[in-house]
Amino acid sequence: MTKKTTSSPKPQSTTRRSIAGSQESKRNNRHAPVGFFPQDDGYCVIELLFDAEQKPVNYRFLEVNQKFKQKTGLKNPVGKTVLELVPDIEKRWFEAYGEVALTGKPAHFEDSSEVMGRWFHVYASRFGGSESRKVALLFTDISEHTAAQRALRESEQHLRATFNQVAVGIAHMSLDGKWTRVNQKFCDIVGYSSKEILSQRFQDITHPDDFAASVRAANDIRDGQAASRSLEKRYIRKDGRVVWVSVTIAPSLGRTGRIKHFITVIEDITSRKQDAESLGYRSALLEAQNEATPEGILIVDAKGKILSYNRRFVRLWGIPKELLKAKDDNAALAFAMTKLHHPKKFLTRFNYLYKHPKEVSHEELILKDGRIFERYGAPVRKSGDELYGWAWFFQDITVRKQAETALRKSEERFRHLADSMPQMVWTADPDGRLDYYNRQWYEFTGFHKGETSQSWRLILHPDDADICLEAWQESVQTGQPYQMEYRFKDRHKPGTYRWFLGKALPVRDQSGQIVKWFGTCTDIDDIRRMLDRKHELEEMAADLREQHEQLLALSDAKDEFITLASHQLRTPATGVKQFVGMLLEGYEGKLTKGQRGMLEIAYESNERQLKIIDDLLKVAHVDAGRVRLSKSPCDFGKLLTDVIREQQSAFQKRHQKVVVHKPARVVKAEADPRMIRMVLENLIDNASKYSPEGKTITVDLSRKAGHAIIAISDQGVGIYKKDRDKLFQKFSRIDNPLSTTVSGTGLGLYWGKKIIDLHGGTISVTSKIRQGTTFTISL
Amino acid sequence: MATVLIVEDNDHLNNAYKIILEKSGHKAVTAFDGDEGLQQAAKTKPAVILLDLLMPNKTGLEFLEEYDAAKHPETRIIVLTNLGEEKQVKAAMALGAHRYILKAHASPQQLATIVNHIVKKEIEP
Repeated sequence: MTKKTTSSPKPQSTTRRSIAGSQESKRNNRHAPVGFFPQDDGYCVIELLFDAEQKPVNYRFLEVNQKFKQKTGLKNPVGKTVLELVPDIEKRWFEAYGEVALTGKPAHFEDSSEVMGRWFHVYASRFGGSESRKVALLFTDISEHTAAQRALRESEQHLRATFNQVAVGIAHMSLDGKWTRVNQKFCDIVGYSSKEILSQRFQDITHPDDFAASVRAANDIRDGQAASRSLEKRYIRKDGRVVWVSVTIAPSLGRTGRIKHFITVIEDITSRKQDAESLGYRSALLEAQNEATPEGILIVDAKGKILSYNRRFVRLWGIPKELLKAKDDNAALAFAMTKLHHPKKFLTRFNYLYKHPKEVSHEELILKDGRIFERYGAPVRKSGDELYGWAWFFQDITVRKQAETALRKSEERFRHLADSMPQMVWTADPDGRLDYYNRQWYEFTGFHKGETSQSWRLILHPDDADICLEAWQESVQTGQPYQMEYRFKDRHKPGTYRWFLGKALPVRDQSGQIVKWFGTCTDIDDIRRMLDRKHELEEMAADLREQHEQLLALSDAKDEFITLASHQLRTPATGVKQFVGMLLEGYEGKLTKGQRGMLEIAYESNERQLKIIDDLLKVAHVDAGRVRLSKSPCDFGKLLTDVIREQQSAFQKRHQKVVVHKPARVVKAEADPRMIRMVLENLIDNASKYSPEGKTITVDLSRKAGHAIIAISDQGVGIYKKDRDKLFQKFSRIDNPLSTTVSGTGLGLYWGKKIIDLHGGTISVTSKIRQGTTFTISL
Repeated sequence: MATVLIVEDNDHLNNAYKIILEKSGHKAVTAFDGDEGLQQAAKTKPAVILLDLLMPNKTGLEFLEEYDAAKHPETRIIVLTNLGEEKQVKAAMALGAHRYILKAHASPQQLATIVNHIVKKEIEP
């Protein structure tokens, strides 16, 4: 025991130790001399040393064989204690050996030598009697065996880890299709736990469409036709989703060479499948787009070699197929140039573009047949800056250009029309942004011609601005027509505004979408003022109507009053007239001369009163415009005869003579006979009254210029010229020698002239002082 | 001689007309309002009726409406009133009055003359 670094075999793990009690240890309990043991094993006999409390604290080597020395590296250990040789040896070794020494129960265990890096199987057995403190130890080198076991364990661990952690699914499947072992990845792929999947068969999760292929692959292997099979198939996951997998099936052979089970390796290729489908889809889509587009497409490489073209390109240009099959860009170009209206210009541009591959071009080409193509060219590049080729797009825009031309002409016509309209006209885009005003707008507002961005607030009356603009916004949002009256500043009259009627209508396309707003501002200032004036006049008219109604009511009341007043005035006079008249007519006997004279005076006074009442009533009527003529063909000769006959007694009384001159032919005219009669009565009565007794009254009836002429002449005192104008005035009395003696109301001529006027006729007077007066009526 | 009905609310005038007519040899029957006039007319069946217009109970126009001149072709009605408005004249004539005379314009003699002519069915003055 000279080498301190060397230690005797000592236990490494209690789990690997079996101190006593097992049948195996009893079987291996040997008490043999050193030379008995195999030469490959180390052997020694030790004596345990105890302290005062009989606890083992050291041991001494009593006997060792050569193998022991070789295996432990201890030199000349006999007679020395282990603490002398290995001072740091663990005390548990003393306890293990001490127990054998004290109890006599042999022990065996495996442990390792850290210094040697080897494993030993140790047999310990008491050597000698029960008092003996000696223990025989036998060491068997089991290092190689232990290493093999460890390697196997590690290999199994690695295999298990690999099985469970690989990125592919691995599963064992029995020959009848039942899953017998699966890894986690496989569980992840199919969405089942391992416990769930182990209760199923491969048929349960295989897509029905892939079942037959799967069975064929397994049968090929089972029948020895193939060492393995790979196929792409679908599993149906637990959640119902379909998962695409690549499956490789191989047999697992037993010692006899028979197939124990299948080993399947499963890779989830769903993503790859989807990518593939997506790529195919995109290719198909691109192809469809290529052919469905209205554009002709030509792709050439950097050297001008035709790579591809679509059918539309061929149709547009009418290029022969053989030319395109040659895929020669120059030949195609030459053909195209024969079709162009300006081939040199095109060629110049073409060459320029090929020399400037970074430029994107967009041009219009005019063909000889009148068509117009739009050409768009762009270089095609690889991921870097390397030119891959060119893409040329051609589109027949003839119709569009024609439409644009028509539209432009239409707009020109519209603008011309708008400029010739009296209103201010404007247009706006669908969002309500104004984009056009006509000439009248700029003339009125004074804005710079062509400007469309000015705010209306600049010219709107402050009271109208908000409501006007809000209404416009609402129309733009709802599409409802716009109509509003507002005031614009009149720059020609600072500080004043003019009223306008603003209207706007949306212009819609065939789908109903608003494409434009068309608006007008019509100057309604004059109309508005007229309407205001009209309103004022209507109010005035209403007031006047009301006043008229009141006046009518008053007039009716007055008429009613006149009617009743006349009745009430006449009634007492009527009583006087009747009773005085009865007295005068002898109803109460003969009267004395004096009585008669008095009664006659009373009677005449009463008559004058009645006459005044009658004249007042007539004047009241005619002044109130209440006289309504009832015209009929009137024979004036007969009328005059009747009037003269009625007044005959008065003429006789005054000893006057009446001479009537009338033509043989009847003189007629449309007149109200009752009214004309009263006029004539008054005139003839006047002629009589104002003529002295014994004089002649002359009545002339004639026709002149289609009119009936009646002239009544007296031989009275005459009327001064200055008084003639007063004759036809109300209550006029002319001073003359007879006025004081002749009764009169001063109303007769006034009323008579009114009646003649109502007939549309005239009445005039001529007079000579002391010779007489003539009143002439023309009807 | 004929029966003449005087319908007049003014006592004095009613009496005056009665005297005038009786002196002319007629039988005068008097009434002092429209209602009484209708009763007397139905009772006496007069040849002539002198009819005032402005009366209590029933006016002369109401009398005419109710009396219905068309049913009494033998009776002549003379409206004798101091209401001289044209509308009243027309209304009375339309209701069957034969003559329309303003009281104030008719003297006793004239009145007697008119009635006599009517009774005798002569041309009236």
